[in-house]
Amino acid sequence: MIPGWLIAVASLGYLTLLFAIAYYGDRRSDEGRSLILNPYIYAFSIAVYCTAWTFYGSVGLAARSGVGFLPIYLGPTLMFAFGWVVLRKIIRISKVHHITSIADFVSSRYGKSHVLGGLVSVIAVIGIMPYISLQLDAISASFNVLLNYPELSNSGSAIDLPLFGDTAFWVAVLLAVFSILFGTRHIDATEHHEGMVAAIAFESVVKLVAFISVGVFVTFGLFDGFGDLFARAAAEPTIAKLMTMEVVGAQWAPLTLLAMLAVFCLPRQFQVTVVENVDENHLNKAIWLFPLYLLLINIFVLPIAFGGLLRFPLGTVDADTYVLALPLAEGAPALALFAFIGGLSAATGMVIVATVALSTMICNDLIMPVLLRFAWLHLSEKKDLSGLLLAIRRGSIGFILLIGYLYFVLIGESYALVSIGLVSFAAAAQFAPAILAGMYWKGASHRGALLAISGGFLVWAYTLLLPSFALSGWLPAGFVERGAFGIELLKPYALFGLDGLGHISHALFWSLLVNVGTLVVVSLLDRQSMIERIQATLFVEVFRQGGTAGVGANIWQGSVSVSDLRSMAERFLGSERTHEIFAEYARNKQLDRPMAGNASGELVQFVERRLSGVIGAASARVMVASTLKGEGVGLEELMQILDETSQVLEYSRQLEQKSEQLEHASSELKAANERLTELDQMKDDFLSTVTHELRTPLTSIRSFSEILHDTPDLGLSERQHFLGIIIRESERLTRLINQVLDLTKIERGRMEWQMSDVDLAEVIDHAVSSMHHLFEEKNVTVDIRQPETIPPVRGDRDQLIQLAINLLSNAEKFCPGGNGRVEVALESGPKALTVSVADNGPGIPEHEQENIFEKFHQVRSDQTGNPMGSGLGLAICRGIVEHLGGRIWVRSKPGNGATFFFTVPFVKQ
Amino acid sequence: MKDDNRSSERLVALFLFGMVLFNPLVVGLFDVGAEIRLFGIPVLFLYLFIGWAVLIGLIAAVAESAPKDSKPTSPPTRQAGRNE
Repeated sequence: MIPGWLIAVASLGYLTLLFAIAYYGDRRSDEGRSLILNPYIYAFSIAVYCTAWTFYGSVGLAARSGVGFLPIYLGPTLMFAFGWVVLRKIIRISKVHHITSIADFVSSRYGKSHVLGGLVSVIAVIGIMPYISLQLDAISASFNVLLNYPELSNSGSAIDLPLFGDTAFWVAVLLAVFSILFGTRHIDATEHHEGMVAAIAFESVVKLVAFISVGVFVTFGLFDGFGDLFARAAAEPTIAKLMTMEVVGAQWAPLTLLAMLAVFCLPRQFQVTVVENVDENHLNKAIWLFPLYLLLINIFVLPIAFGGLLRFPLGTVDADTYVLALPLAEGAPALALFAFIGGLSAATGMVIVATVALSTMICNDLIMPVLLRFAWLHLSEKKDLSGLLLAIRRGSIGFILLIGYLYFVLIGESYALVSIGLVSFAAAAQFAPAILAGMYWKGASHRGALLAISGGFLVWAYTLLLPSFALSGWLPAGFVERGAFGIELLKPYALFGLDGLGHISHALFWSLLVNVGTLVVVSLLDRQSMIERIQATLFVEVFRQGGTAGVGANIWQGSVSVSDLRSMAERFLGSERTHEIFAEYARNKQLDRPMAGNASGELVQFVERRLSGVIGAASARVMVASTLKGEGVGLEELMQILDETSQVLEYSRQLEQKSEQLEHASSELKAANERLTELDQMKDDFLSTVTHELRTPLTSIRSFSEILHDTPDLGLSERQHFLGIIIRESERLTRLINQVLDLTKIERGRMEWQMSDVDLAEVIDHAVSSMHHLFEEKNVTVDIRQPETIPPVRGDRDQLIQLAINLLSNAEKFCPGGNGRVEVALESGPKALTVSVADNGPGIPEHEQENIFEKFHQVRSDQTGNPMGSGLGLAICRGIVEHLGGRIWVRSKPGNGATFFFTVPFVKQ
Repeated sequence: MKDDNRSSERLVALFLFGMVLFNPLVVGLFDVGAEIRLFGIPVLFLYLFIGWAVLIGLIAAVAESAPKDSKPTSPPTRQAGRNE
């Protein structure tokens, strides 16, 4: 038993501390030194997911169905693993489009539709209402337990006593004041509530520490650790049953799915995860920190539940209150008070964020569009509408808490905490198909989403909300037992005979079936309007557009003046903030002159986005459209621009591929070009060498002819000598020309080859004997070594003789006079005959050996430095050998002579 | 962007792993009653909580090794028009 004044002081003290934190957070943010700019605060703020329902209800549920409470926390863990893909996209889209709430998101995606935004807002309010009343219930019930233990602890909510009705009422009033102070202190274009987020994060820490404290107290104080606790629990047959899956039933998978959807579709989760997100990178940490938080807060749920079941005789204490009752019963009132504060944290955190989120929706997506549309003339007279916006939001918060309180008084009593929470989850889950499809499927249409959400909501209302009314006596009880109009098939808990699933799973199945089915079918049959297609593309391709959504700016081009735009913005944002926005735009665009005349499309879009951060996308659009003078650019044209942009993106991707291929091709071309240049160079060299070679004999022929011509009295012997030179030079000239012709013939494939089977030994003999006198003249000995039998080779006999003569004369040329020695050897290989011609001349330097077969490559004599041949002989040799399918090469050591080898393939058998 | 996709793929794989981990059929395998306890804790509880912790650990490992988005996101500086 704790005195009431102490509880009241502790609670108020705690709330004051909370407000101080929020106030400090706002101050810091105003100073530009944000308190919440770190991922840990972000993760803790997402833990607003854990409400009083977690704090008290999990234990209650665990006491009834063992691990049946876990899917509610496993689902979010799975969803956050997916978070990188889904949540990050939601966050990016919301940042780009200045989304202020989940209703805003849906309405913005489906063509900035008022109807859809309004519908989502209404469903959110109706769906979340039970959840809010649940928090009021939890606070007043826990207050009751603390105050009156042990007398009243067997009844979680005791509305029969007028006092408790009053408690809940005062709690509602207090929370309303709080939410207003936190959430609507000022109108803000970025729509971040930093102080609130800081306070929520703090609350998450408090409730975690409080719950773990109770858990440690129960596990290690009342029992001797986990082993002892579970051993004693297992001894009780009723509790032992809770350690199996049997008590969980078929609920496991559906509840996991439900929690997965709820963790981003619940308005308050959308608020903290998406709208209040200040840095996308914070998600990296949050996707594991938040699941870790859930794990930690759930570790002691089962021990507390079992501890309570062991400690209290069955039915004497409501399991939902074990968290408080156990410390109280065991004489630890201070811990009980701390646990109460933890529960208060959980409840207030949820109520504050939920009411702020809902009030934003009600204001932006429900009331403002209506006011703007139907009472525009009236509103236009007001100079400053930001006051009106604040008033609407504050009124909405009051309204939400009021009907939450009414729901609590009239209906809440008949439900356990958990069922109420799940009813809200199921309502929020109706937004999931439209959101997910909207992000990944451009074809999802406005009508499809509208009918899907409506259909899902109606099924939800029929299978969950109406029965709760019936159970509270608002509707005849027969509605649940015998179905609407007495038709069995329409029984709300067993629609069309589907039974045995549990109410929540049953409702989830039917509502999602209707929801998804309608969305898909209607969208497939539908034709989207232009604005829908624009928004769909912007949402689905948000990462492709570099996050700027710059396309579509032209829609407002030249249709509104800057001053009109400014005065319109001032009505909502106030003159100071408007001035800042316009200055920011000018700064971004680096404009040095004040803007005047008609506003650029970009400026209008900039202002529209800022405005949508305050009044929602749909309203902002109406506002901007109302200030337009003309029609602006038509939607058709805009669509065209958008299509073109997508096409350009597509083309640029293809271009990138093409350019890679081009790069490859161009490097090939470059190589080919280099080769061509080389060949060209060779051709030039060839020509100049040929003419040079021709000129030398010509010059000597001419000069000797001139001598003969000019000096008729020349002696006979001299005359004979000169004529001899002329004849030799002419022969050399003829030979040279023949060689050039041969070479070009071979190279261009014009040579006429008389192919036959040739005995190479005979060819060599022929060649040697035809050069006999040359060798004798220079006193060079020639040795021929050959095997006894040589298979014939395939070739042109004349050309082979030419080949042999070329090599032999080459050898002769380089042999030293007097003791010259040439060795010719034939050797049979497996496939070809190898012929070698060796001399004992000066040899060929290493670096020349490669090039020696090139045209006009002349080895210069060491002694004279003059070339010793035409430079064509070996080139011709190579041409012949290669044509016959053989190979030619040289081996030489300078000073030790050179050996030329060539091979000619045998005749194929 | 490639590493980014890599992390996405890994996280999707972890999501699927989690689906298997907490699939009723798989959980059912560890549903061996109250009498069989490991370290004094019923096997079912142990499996669920340790499996959960492992999954979180893996998510953390992937998320922490993921590259940060270099695109600066707007700081939440609020030079709000005070309209109180």
